[in-house]
Amino acid sequence: MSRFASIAKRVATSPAVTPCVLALFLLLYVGIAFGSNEPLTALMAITRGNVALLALLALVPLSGAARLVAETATFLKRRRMFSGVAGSDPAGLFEEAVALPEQAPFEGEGERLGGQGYRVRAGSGWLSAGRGVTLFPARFLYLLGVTLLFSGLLASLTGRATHRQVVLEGEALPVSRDLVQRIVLKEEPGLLLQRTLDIAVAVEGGGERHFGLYPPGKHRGYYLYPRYLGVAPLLRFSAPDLPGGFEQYAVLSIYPPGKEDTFQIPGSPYRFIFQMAPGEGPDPYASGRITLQFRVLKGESQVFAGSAPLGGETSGGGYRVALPEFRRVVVTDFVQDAGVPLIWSAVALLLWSLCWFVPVRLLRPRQEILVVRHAEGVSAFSRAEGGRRAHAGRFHDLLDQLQPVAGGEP
Amino acid sequence: MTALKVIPQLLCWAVLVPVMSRSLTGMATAVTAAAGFVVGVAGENLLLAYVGGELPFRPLRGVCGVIFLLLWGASVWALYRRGSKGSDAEAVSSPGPLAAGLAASATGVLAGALTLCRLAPLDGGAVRLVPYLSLACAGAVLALAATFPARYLPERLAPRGIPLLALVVSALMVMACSVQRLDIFSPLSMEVMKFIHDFVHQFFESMLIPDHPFFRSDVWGYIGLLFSDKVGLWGGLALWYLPVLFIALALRLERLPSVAHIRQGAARRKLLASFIHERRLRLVAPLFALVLLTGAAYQSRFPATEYWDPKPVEVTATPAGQIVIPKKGEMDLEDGKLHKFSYSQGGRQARFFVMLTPAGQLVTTLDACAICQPEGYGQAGNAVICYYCKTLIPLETVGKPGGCNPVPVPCSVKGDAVVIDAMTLLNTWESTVQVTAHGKGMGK
Repeated sequence: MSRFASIAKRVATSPAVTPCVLALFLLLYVGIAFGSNEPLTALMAITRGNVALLALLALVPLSGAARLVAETATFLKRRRMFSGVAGSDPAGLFEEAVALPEQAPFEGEGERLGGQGYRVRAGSGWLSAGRGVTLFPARFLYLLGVTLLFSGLLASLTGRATHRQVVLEGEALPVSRDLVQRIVLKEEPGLLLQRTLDIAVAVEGGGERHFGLYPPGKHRGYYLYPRYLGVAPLLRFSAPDLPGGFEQYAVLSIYPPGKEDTFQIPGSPYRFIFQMAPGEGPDPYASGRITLQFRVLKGESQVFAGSAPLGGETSGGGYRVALPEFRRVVVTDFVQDAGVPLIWSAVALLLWSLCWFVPVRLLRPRQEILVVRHAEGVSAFSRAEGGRRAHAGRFHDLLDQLQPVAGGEP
Repeated sequence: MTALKVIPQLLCWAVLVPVMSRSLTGMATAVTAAAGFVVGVAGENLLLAYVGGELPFRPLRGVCGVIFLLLWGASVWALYRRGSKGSDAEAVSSPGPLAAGLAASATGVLAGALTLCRLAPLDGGAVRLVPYLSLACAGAVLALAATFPARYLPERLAPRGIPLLALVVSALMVMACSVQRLDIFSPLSMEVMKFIHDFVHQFFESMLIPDHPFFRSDVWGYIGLLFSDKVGLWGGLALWYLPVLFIALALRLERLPSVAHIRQGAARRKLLASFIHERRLRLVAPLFALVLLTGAAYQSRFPATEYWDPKPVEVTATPAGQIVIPKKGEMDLEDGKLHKFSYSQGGRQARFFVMLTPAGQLVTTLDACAICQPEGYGQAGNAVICYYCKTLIPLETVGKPGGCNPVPVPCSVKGDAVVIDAMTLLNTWESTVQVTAHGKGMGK
């Protein structure tokens, strides 16, 4: 391997890369926090528009992947050595290595180690003893999780596109002829969510698709991310100076009850302020029994106020407001983001890694002893992923047995 | 009373110098530190006298922030290096006389300047001559006298390298946090709170997670803990303690020396026991630093300063929806103090205050800012303080939006009265408190 490749490998697999990059971003965050009330959003925006920062962030998944490969190779190499496959260089594979004289009689020690709970394997000129469960799977999952997490962040930062659109019953989904047939909100308490939302869509080529709250469904490469609910009542309005009246669907983002939205009558000084009346029974949006409270403003002054159920009407003072029918509305973000599945996969892997690591590290960490005879003498190696002192004690006892007099080289 | 104010700082100084002189170069360190302290006191007093305003405090606060960040960096480095074969004591050689002198004098200058700030009058200006000279003398004498107890400090207890840095920074933090304008713990807590708000919001947005109307109320209650008023404090405490805990952990996790080559069990055990004993002794410095940081956080949370904080006076609106407060009635709105009022209408309530700024303008603001929980403001000298994050807002900037400034509410002066639109006041209060109490974008 050339000198350059060796250096590149050492840098790529260095555990210092991730902390250094994260420390730099932390410093940037601190710097931004001095001048912005939303430093995280500002940092994301700055990173998104800066190639150097993106390249720096990309070092984290690259380093993670490099370490994953290097650590897997080390693990396999150690396993081969442990199985008695000759020819591997033990440098860096074990925590302790001791050279013993050639005549050290280790072949008989297997039984004693077996009595101490080690699973012993022996062959011609080698003896290996191991106990416990290796932490390598946890490490593998962790490194894979970190790699996926930062790849996801990078993909999300650079490639996310969001368009906010209104999804309306009876209308087609944006950029398609897939028709929204119905929007149903139900009170169905689950593990985390209180309600379920079902957007039933008749697909252009036949068949039906359903989009819910979570996980978000995908439509033509875009996730449907429901943000707010609302209604679009057919608004019929007439006033003393508007005898011809007005009729149009008014799209109102007024859920949950109490939230206000305004609607301007085009070409007139009239403006409505609507909100959904709370009601005492089930959720009005879910039940469909919706009453709208409204105020009618002419310029800045209020000229009429009242409430009307959807399907009903009200009038007074020359003003008449009728809401003969309505459609349900979901204000939806159509999001294109390749990072979302990567980040969720990463979260799952990291949790899985933790679930492996904690019990194994606490209850049965891997401890290994390997004794190999070669041309120059006998070498003894030891490593432990936990319970180091007890394991070291047993290893040292073994060495005392093999070489009872003072000596040995560190 | 003046002398009592600086006792905690001088105590810290009295502990710090013997440790430094024992760990660095003895008497020379103490002399350099004493000189640095006097220079720090004199320099800061000159700044207070001739520059005035916030300028003498800002650089000091910046330096405190930087050294705290340095401590963070050092602690992560210590943790990263914990797996190295040699022990920390072996790896860290004593610094040369020049480096030791620089470290001692920089610490002295900073300690002197921080301690003098504790005596700085709230309404500006320099510290009077007698307390100023007394402080300089006391600091110098303490530093020089420290060489005596330093001789009795066991060598094995004298911290070296990163643990020494932890001790020095922690002592300086105690000095800084006792002065409102230099305190960095409260701003840290506020930044943590903001970060958690922003992070949760961004996480929900990025992972396309639905907003709160769709969540079970009990689940949302747990998520809501992240927006509670204590999350900033606990998060701030975590960041405050972590560097020192990292250092302690790095010492604790230091690998035992390899004894595999020793063939006598007793000799192996003796060597290991000696190493473990040394390692335990090295933990004393970071643990003491932990105590100091606790003191600093306590001073920050419970400052000794008393604030002008009148009880809000109930006001009502005219039929036209206007709140009219006479300039000279039961209270004088133009006396330079903040005057708090509260207004209620149909279950909606807002708290606000009116005050005359140094520029001679009557301003009306909410008793809340756009960032923190609405715990309100008090007045101390020429600044108001946000009770939640303990940020001092100079009176000159009250009435201007941004940061932790109280949120301005439009008002007009008509004749002898200040007039505020009641609906605007309620709407401004509700939109502000909705964001700060429930999380940005999460409470829609």
